[in-house]
Amino acid sequence: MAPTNRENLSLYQDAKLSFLSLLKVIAQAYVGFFVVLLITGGRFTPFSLSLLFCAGTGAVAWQERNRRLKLSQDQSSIQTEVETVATDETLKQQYGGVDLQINHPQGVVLLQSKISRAESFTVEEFLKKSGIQLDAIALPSIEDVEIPVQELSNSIS
Amino acid sequence: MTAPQSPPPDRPKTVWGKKTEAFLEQISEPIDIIGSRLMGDLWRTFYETVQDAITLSLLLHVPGWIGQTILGKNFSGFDVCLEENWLGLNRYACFIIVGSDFFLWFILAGRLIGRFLADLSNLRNSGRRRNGSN
Repeated sequence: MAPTNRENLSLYQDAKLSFLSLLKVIAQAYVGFFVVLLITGGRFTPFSLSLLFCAGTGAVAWQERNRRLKLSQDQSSIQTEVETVATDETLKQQYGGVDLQINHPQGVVLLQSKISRAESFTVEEFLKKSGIQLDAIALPSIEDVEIPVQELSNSIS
Repeated sequence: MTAPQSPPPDRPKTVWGKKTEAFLEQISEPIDIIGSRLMGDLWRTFYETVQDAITLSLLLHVPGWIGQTILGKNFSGFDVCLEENWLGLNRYACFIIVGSDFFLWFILAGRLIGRFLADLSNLRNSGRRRNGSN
C-alpha cells in the first residue's frame, strides 16, 4: 500500500471518529442542559450560566483530550505493527523466500529452510523433524559442520 | 494486521460522480499541501476545527435559524424566553434555540482546548522519551 493511501484512509477514519464523538458530545450537552433547565426553571442567574459554560467547556475539552491521546496511542501501535510486517516482507524478499535460517556465529549459514506459516514448532522439534543432530549445531568450529542445506529443505517439504 | 480496517469511502459510480470527485481532489490536494507546508502539524488542528465548526453550525445553528424564521421571532437570550407565555410553544422552542447556540460555542471551544491539551501532553511524552533514550 502506498503511504499516501494510508494517510488518506487514516484521515477519513479520523474524520468519521471525530464526527461520532461530536454527536456524543452534543447529546451529552443537551441532557446536561435539560437537567439544569429543570432545576433552575429557566431562570438562569449570571453565575449559574457562566458556571454551566465553564463546566461544559472543561468537560468537552477533557473528553476530547482523552479521546485524542487514545487515538494517537492506537495509531502508533498500528504503525509499529505495519512496520513489523513490512520488515518481515523485506526479509523474505532478501533471503529469497526462506522462512527459517540458522546462522553459525562465525557467519556461515547452517540451515536454511522454507516452512509454511501454518506450521509452528519449537526449534528442537524442527531439528528433529529435519534429522539434524543437536550436537552438530553446537559444534564450535565451522570445519566440523557439514549440513547439506538443499537436502534438508527437500526432506521437510 | 490484527487491527480492523474500516472500509474506505464509497467510490462514485456515475460519470459525473467521478468527475466531481476528481475535481474536488484537484482542489483539496493543493490546499492540503499549502496548509501543511505553511503550518505543519497545526494544519491538522486547524482543519479539524473548521470541520467541527461547519458540522456544529449545520447541526445546531441552521435548524435554530430556520425555526426562528418559521416562528417569526428573534430569540437572542434566555431572558427573552422567560417573557414568552408559559403554555406557548415559543418558550420551549426559544430555550432549545438559544441553548443550541450556546452549545455551538462551548463545544467548539472545548474541543479546541482539548486538542491543544492532547498535543501538549504528546509533545511532553515525546520529549521525555527522547531524553530517556539519550
